[in-house]
Amino acid sequence: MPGTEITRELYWNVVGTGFPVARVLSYVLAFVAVVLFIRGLFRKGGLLEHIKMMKLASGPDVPRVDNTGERLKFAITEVFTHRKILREPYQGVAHLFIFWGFIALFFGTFMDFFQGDVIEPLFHTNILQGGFYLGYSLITDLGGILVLIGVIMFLLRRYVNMPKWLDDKPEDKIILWLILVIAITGFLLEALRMQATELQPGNPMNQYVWYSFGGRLFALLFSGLSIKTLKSTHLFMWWFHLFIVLGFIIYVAYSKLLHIFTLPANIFMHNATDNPALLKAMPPEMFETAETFGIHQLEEYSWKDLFDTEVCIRCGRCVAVCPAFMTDKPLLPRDVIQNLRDHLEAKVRLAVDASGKVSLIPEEDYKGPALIGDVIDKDTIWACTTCMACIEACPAHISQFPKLIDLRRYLSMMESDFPAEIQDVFKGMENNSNPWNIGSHSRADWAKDLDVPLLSKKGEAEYLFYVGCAGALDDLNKKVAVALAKIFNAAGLDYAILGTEEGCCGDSARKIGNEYLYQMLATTNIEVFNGYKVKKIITMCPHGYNTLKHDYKELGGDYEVYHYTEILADLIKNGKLPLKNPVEGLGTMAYHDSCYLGRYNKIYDQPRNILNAMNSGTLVEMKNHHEKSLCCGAGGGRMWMEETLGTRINQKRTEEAMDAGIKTVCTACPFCYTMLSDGIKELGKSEEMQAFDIAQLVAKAAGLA
Amino acid sequence: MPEILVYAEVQKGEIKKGAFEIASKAKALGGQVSACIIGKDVEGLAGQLGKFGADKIYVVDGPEFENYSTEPFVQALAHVAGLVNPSIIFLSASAQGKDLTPAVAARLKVGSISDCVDLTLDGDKVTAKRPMYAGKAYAMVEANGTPQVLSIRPNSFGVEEIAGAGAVEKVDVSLDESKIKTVVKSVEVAASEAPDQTEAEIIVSGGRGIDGAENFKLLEDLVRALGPNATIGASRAAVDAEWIDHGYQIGQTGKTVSPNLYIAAGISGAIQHLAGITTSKVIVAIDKDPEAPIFSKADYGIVGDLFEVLPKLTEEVKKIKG
Amino acid sequence: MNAVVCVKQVPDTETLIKLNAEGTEIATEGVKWILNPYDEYAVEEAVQQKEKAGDGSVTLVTLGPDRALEALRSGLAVGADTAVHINDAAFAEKTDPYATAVALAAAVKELEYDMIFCGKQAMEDDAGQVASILGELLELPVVTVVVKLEVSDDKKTAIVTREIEGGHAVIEVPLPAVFTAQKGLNNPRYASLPGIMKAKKKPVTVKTVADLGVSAEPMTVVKSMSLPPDRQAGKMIEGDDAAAKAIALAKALHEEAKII
Repeated sequence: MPGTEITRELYWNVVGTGFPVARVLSYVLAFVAVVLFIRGLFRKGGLLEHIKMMKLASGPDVPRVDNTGERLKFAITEVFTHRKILREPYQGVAHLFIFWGFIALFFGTFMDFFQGDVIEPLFHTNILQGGFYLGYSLITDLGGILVLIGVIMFLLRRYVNMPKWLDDKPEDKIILWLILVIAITGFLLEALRMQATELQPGNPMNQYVWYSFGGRLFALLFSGLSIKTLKSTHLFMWWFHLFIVLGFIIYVAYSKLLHIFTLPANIFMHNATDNPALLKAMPPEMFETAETFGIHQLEEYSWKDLFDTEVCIRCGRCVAVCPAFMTDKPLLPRDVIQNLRDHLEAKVRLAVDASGKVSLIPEEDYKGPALIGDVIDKDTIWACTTCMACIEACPAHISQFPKLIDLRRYLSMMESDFPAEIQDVFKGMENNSNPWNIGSHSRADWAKDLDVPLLSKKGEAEYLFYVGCAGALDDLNKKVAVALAKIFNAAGLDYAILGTEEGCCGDSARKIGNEYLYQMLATTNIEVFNGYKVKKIITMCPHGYNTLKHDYKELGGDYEVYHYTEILADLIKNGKLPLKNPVEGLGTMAYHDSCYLGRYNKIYDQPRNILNAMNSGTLVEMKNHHEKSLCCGAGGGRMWMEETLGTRINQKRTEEAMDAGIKTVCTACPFCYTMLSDGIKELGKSEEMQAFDIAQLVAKAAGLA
Repeated sequence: MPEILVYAEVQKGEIKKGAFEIASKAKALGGQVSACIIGKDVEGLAGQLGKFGADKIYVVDGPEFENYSTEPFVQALAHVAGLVNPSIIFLSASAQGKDLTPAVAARLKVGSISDCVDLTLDGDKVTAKRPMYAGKAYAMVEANGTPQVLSIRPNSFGVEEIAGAGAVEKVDVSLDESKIKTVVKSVEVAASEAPDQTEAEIIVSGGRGIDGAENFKLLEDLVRALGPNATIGASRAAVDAEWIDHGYQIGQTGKTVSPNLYIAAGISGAIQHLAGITTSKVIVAIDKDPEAPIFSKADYGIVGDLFEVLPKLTEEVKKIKG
Repeated sequence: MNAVVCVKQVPDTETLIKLNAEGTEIATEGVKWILNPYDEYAVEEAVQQKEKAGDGSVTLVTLGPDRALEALRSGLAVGADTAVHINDAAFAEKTDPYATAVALAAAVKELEYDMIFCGKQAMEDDAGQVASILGELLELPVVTVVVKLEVSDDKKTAIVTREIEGGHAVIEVPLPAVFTAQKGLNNPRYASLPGIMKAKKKPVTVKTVADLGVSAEPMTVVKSMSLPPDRQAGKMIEGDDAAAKAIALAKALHEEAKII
């Protein structure tokens, strides 16, 4: 057979010709390591014990293991492409190197075992030879080098350039050092062997040494050493490497390394609904029967919520992107998850009996820290803008902020415990179906000087233009509603509004946790929509868009919902809305992505396409855009709350616009429009900067304003 | 010619302007006008009422009437009403009048009509116009039974001085102590000489645009320049922001006012606020936003920065007032 | 500590007020009805006093048509225990503060109470009379526009602070007594969901004129109603800058409007 000389001796220098003591011993040790690993999973405070608690969790959930094929495909793609992890290039590349490096090393180690303990004893042949051997050699060395580079990158980040949002526990560094030692000892091992064999003059492998380039380079350290020294050092290194690797395997069960298993599992069980920020369903009949609403005890979460906490490796990406954290508010999504995990462990300790059985502690017997207040501070709960940046950033597909909404639900519905200013908002929604408590009779006043058809008069229309509270009642945003009506009229769109029959969509109420109020508002709207047999809806507000499109389905309202930017982009593309007049004075402009359009509904292109079609100004991007766009600060009901902690989010975002040298900030959301207009005023930049809603600019470009 | 009894309220040693307004109106309606004044050391004040149409003035004077307390005043006024036997009783719808009117009417076993802004008389029968729904509607109301007891919103009628002097008669009222159950422990009144918003002739009000408690000073300067009948007011936004006490709030859940001049500075004009000022004679609005709803109700509007407009306006007012 | 709270259902304060065709009362079509906002302070105070005392019950009494039950439910949802609903066609046509107070007094007499609370006024007729008449009929002291209330330890007296012109007066009053609640007395709570659900099951007794043995004869009669003339936008003062505008305004107020 050609090339039989191109191979290497397995267990070289470790196993002699007699009984393979080292070989057997290494298997025994590996077995012990696996046992210890499994023991780690079942230990006090281990994953399996926590899973017992998860099984007791009572919160409702969506299916997690349906469409197995789809899920498997998704999980495999996510894991192997590192799609989300690579969103942060530095950490992404580092992790990708370690991930693929370890796969290569695992492949190499497996081949060793397969050849040495399966093929050789059974078939007395060697598959690790010739070209295959060289490839195998190259791949494992490449893997080792990737691991080495990756782990050094991570170590540099930990020791030299640690971001402030990253937390630091002993295990973080232990893991990195373990990996570093494994990689280095692996190479040293290879180098020692090569120096003693392949690199010796006359060795037939002499010409192939660069296929093991890692080992070849490390061998430079050993040039000139005697064979004897090389062999004894190699033997020591072999055992040392083995012990470190086995220790590493055991440590997987005791550290965040367990994510090697739990994280792919979590990705497999990802939220596969079309609603990316899924809140727990509360079927209407629940309000008649249930005794408690929302969550104030850990076990009221769903098992998946608790499993999420097990998966989190504290990478901190959710923290880095959180607008509340960026403005010094006491909300770090990672810490919410981690605190829940610690609380889970603490509760398990109280709930487990001598036989290891975990049972629920009755509420009245529980004396430990309270979920709301002790484990998660109320200020944390109310700081969230529901911008979804955390969910979007999380490579582990953990659902962070909805866990806070569960707590808000308890506070709002059970305790009436919310920021004082919210009471008037709720009352306004109850009495006049808008958060300002402006008389509901004035809901169509914005349109009174325009030719805007009322559905009640028109009878039917292709599109219902659902204006929303801001467009209908807020002075600033009425201008946007007017611009849209003029555009629709000019483009000959078959549409109508509901006028005073329109009500609040309920998004803010829902995100503040008042699901009861939200459902009252939603069902009223759905009755009206269905009464007119509405099929297609255009919304002005992304919050209404998301709510009508996704949330109303749970309550029997199923419509084709469009945001106005989708409609305008189409009208412009199809030539139905000629933009003949370039708009003067826009200068450098940027589109500020609305969270509820972008991250929630992946509408990134249409607003930009519209702006590009105007041939006005110069469109650039701010530092944070598309899925990394920074919230304006108004989502999640924060629009109606005072911002008393830290600095103001709208100012932070306005500063980002300033830093990008932008004159015109373009929005497609009434909340964003309000917040950024205010941000410009608050920072005293009214001379240099301006905010416009895209609809206003389009109206100008179309010669309608 | 109906017999009309007018209750003249005394505050800080003075008869209130509202008393002169209702006395003048009673006279203008063509009534036989009696006035009743209750307090401590008030006898000397009584004569003034004659100049505003009171033909006879009943004085109830005593230390027990030093501070207003519902029951003693009800007894005193009911006692005088017993002497006069009027077909109509007018009170001013001041803070005190609002407390006293329904109580004294109930003592006389009749109903009353609150906060009237206009009156017509047909024989002995009064028809009163009064705002309801915080000024969003008016009702024409008549009272069954005698006397007809009405409280009149301050500033609804002008005062008319006539050449006349009413006869002053001191009345001794022996209070039924068994019915007096409340004790006034203390009274705290701000030192300010400014009239109550409901009675001021000029109100300068600040809203969200004032942007901070410290900036109310701009309004105070203007108020001082405008004279003793002017006072400060505020919109709900300013009160909710805790820039100023709730006592200053104008509008629904605050005070409903009818001054001759209402200056709204930095008030956008929410409907709740507009409802409370709609009976003002002249409304001036100063706001940055040209589309603020307040401008649709204002007689004079200035679109501009109140921090520039107010000081200049104060300066000009001082010049005019000389 | 037992308390009675007299409440009224009124149109939402933001409602656009329109008149009926005859111009005798407001058009009720499309009106959103709520618990009178001042009554919310009254209910809250009663509930807080009950909670502070640790015993007793809060009873709501209202006079109104069927829909007034909703107002009672609102009050029951925030902590009142039971309610009496005076519902009689005799009141449907016209009623006034006096007749209302007579009916309420008859209903209250059958209840146990240490305190009676009312709102300062109903944000519809804005009369502010019922509490005073009620006190007279029940021969109880009345303290109006209360912004603070403290009950003595022996629960025999209360120290209350009421608004007076330009300030406050502190008054000691023996219980039982009638109080009217002013904004600032407390912060009415938002009904919790369990509160709303429990309110649906709390007992509401319905009484008629006959049950109470009273007459529904009013003392005052609304003859007609009108809407205020729509204030028209006046003139906008123009000028080159703020100072010029201020000068022009002062001139207009002095020479044109003749108010300064």
